[in-house]
Amino acid sequence: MSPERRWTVDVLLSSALVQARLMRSPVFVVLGVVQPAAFVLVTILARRSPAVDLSQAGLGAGLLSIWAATVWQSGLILRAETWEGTLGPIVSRPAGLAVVLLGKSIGATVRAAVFIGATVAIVSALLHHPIEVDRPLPLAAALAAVLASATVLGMLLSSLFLVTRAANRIAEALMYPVFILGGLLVPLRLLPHWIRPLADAVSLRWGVDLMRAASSGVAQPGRAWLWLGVTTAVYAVLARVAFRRMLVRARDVGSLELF
Amino acid sequence: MATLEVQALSRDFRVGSTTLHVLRGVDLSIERGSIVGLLGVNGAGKTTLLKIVSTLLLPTAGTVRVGGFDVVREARAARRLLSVVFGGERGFYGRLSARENATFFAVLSGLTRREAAKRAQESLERMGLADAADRPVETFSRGMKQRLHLAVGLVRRPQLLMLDEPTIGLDPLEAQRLRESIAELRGSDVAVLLTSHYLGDIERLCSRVAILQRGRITYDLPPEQLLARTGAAAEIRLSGTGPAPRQPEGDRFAASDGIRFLGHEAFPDGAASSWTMSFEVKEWSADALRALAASWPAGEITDVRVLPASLEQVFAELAAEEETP
Repeated sequence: MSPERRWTVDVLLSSALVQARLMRSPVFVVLGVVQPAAFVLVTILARRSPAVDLSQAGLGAGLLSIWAATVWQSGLILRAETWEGTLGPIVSRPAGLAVVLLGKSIGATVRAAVFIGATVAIVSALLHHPIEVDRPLPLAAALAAVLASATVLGMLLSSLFLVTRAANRIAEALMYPVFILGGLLVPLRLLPHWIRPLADAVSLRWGVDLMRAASSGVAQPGRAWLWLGVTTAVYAVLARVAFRRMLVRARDVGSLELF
Repeated sequence: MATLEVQALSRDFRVGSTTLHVLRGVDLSIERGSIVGLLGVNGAGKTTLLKIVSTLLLPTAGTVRVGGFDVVREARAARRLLSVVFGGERGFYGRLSARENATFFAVLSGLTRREAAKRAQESLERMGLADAADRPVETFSRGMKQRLHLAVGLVRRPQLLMLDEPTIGLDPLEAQRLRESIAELRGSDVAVLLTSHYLGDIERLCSRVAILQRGRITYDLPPEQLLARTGAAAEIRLSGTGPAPRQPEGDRFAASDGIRFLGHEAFPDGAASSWTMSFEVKEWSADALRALAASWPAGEITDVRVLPASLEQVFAELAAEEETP
């Protein structure tokens, strides 16, 4: 590996570790432990309903928490840098903000996924309803793809949230519409016809399809893999454009330390 | 080739419907081994200039090159050569330790993780923070945060080091230690741009002083030449007790004496009356001392103070000029 590449890997790794250490605060414990535990509990308490497939519901609870934690934590990374006053010091260094943001987003994702995954598994086991997975490898592949997509979407939101002071409010307002469009709260077939194309643009919707298929032991639909890839690629392009515009604008108006 | 080359640099800010011309055609260059002080009143544009050079702000017009790299078109290459310390309370992750912060920013500056950890430790030791290295930064005092800024900024030896008010918040010993560290860079391969409101720092450390007035560099001179601008070598203040002496008459000093009477003040209080007199010495000479001795009033002199001309006088004159519409 060339020294330049090795250094880039070091920047990614250091950024990821710093972000994971920053998430040791009680706020992140709520997001990483209390929230998913509550989701699992609610799901399991509904076990008497014949309409509820416990395994699917437990998976949905975990996915809901992971998606929420990943997207919103990644989405608020740049905003948090401005609160700490670290955005300027990062931009003035040769590593570049884009690599640091990617590393930090990966750090936030991995930490959230590990915490939430462990919480869901432990709570489910304690309540004697362990999550059963028929096809663990396809499920793991789908989970990795969903996490990657959530990280990219988080990076896109991070650039967008930086130009508004109402980032937290917007993030909260967007959370449940995205869950609905992702098919996590209401089956997509129950949504009005006119809203379904919107759901197709949410990568989470395809990730949910893939994970449900894997956990039920059926073959994962190729169409879902294709659309998960397409939507994530679109998010990545938009994230790149938004990031560049945000950075040029911030350097132009002199607001790197003032957002 | 100079390490820093600034040519015809302008920067405007729009505030509502008004355009503020903060920098208006700044020219400046700094060679390796030089320490240049940048002086100006608040709002003169010093920090704006530093932000443009450190790639945080885009110029409206003009060019800035660091080590030959344009800070707009070749920002990444320029960033590899520079280090900037803005100081202040923010700029760190408060929940992380000083070591974690220093190591992280060292990696971003171009070091590998292993090198960064080693250099961070050395830099923290140099700034007297080794004992507090593993404490969260949010528990640090203002002075400790300032030292951490410096430790992070100096963790890697850059080609261009920019320090914005580096001694603010430091106790006298820390400030002296920092001055010594900066002074060591004189004649090295590092070019230093320094802003400070402690003009003594500028006077002691800098080989040149650039004055930023109304968005332009109006003087770019060695400190001694700038001091000569005051037209005086020193001011002498005499204090005494007893009745106030008469004011020396205007023709008492010949032009060749190089002495000028500045003023006197009396504090009548019966037997405890006292007074002060001030003289300006344009140039030290035997004639000047003789003329001065001849003008000293009779009675008890309790204090003689010689105040050498300083950058503070120059700065005060400049500030007065800035206030003139």
